[in-house]
Amino acid sequence: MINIHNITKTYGDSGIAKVEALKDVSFTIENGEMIVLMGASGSGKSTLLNLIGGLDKCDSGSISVDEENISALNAQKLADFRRDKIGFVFQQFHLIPTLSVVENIMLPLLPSGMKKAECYLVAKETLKKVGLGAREKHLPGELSGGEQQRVAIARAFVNKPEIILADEPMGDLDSKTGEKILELLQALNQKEKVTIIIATHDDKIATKAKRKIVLKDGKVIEDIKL
Amino acid sequence: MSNSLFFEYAMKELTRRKSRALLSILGIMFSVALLVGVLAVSQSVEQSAMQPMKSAGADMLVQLHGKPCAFDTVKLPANLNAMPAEAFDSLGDNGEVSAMAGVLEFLSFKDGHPTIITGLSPDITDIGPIKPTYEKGECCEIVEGRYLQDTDTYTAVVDKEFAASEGLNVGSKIDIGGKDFEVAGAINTGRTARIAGAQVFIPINTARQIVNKGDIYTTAFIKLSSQADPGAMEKKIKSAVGEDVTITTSADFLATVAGMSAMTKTMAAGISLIVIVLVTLFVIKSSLAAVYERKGEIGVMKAVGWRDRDVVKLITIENIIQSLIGGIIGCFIAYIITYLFVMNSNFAIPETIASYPACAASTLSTDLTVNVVFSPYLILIGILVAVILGILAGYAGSKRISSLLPNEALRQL
Repeated sequence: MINIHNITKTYGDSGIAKVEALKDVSFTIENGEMIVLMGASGSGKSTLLNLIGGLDKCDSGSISVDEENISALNAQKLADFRRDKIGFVFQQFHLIPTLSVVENIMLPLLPSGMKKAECYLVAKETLKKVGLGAREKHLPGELSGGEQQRVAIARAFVNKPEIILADEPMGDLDSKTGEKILELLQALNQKEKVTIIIATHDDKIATKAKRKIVLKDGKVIEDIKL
Repeated sequence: MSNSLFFEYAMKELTRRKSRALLSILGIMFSVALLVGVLAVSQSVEQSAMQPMKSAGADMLVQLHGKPCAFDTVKLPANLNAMPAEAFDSLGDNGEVSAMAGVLEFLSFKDGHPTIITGLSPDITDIGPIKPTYEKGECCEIVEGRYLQDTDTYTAVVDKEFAASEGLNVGSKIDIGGKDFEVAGAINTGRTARIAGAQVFIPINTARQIVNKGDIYTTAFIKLSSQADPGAMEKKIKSAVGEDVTITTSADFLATVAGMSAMTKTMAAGISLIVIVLVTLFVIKSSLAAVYERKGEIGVMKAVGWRDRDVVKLITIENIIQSLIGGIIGCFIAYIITYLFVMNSNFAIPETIASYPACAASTLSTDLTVNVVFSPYLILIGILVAVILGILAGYAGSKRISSLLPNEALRQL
């Protein structure tokens, strides 16, 4: 369970550079939910995902995942938290261009101390699940946008995380490819019981989720079950 | 994370950023080549220049230089005068001398041709122009017959090459100063020059009878004990033998033969160190730039659970690989530099210490053999300097970026 309690996040120190990205945001997410975070650009969706995933720290309030207050973790424990519990999917895929597809998928497994051969087998198996088993040796640049996002999802899922955080995962894809990516995320939610949180401004995606949270100017203005 | 995977990932990164990696490798290569080259050239020159003193087993040479003697059947070498042997008797009274040998060098003329003779004490075999260890490969190997003995008088041991040129064998007779000497053995003194080297070695007492100038030495070899003060010993020698005596120490010998003083060595090492510091700064700057270029990727690594130390380790390994490549090539270049330097170097014993008449039928070499000294120790220094440089650059580059929050790093993408 993710418990978000009164969190605020401000960027910049003072004056016009100061941006209040989140203001007193509170809500709870149960395990296995599939949620869309909606809102216009600058509403605070990405900031919220970053805070839940431990990529950034909030200024006040707290975020607990399975009753562990991640806001209080040091850098090392936060890294372990991300490795064990979180998977990220980014809008621009963020695959490392020098590494092959399978090596990119192995990245989250490496800090766990797993042997190379084992990492490889797990990564290969995960790649098959996203339908790209034959492309393991290709470089990201040799794949289409949709294929790259599948690889990114495989990377997010390879360490069997409890939560996958996807920031505009279909943003750079055409609608047909985007739909397939969404189906993939849905399948992970339904078959693997992974909690999925998708930040998007696309209304069509919201119809596939079970819950919609709408943000505006850093505040939750709507939280409805679908 | 297994080290082999770190290595694989690091190699991929280096091959991706070829020009930056190449620049760093060149910088490291240049500094290692300079440092190891300076050390290797200095060691090669030092070893060859010191060879005559080392093979004589001495720390000091004492000679009295003067005008050539008038022509006679026998005469002292052109630039050496006689020193009274008794002046050396009391030098080691206080335990400052661990070994001492005086020799009498002279030329014996027959049919207008000089033969180079050295009279020495047969019982002193650990210091002096030849040390008959009788072991192959060391100076000096008896190749035929035997070495001189205490009871010998008109007995000679001849240089192997001289024996061959003169057709001498064990039992042959040789004329020295109008006296017949029986050849007891032939000795191989090697091709390199020696101090007080000779074509014929005879007992010093017999040599004194022939030269007829009393109990004299022309060169004295002195080995100091570990507690002796060389400066005090020089004063003592001057007071006993005379103020105009020439004393050559190992350091003087190196400076005279190779023109290499302690100051030039320190200067060369100092310049190398300055270059290393400059290259270190350059490599750190290059590493920082390379790391900042991939700030976003590091953000991805951190986002998927890499700890700060994993990032530091990866970047440090990348730098160590670059440094090792630079260090190994640098050592190879240093070897080539040393080889070329040595091949084009020509060192000889100074004439003031050993000179031989050009008119001799066959003469001794004053040339020193210069060999490339390139020990594993030097390679180790080169590689170690390169690796330390790599670790410093990698650590400096990665430490700053690894402390960023993943979100800050990801904003670069």
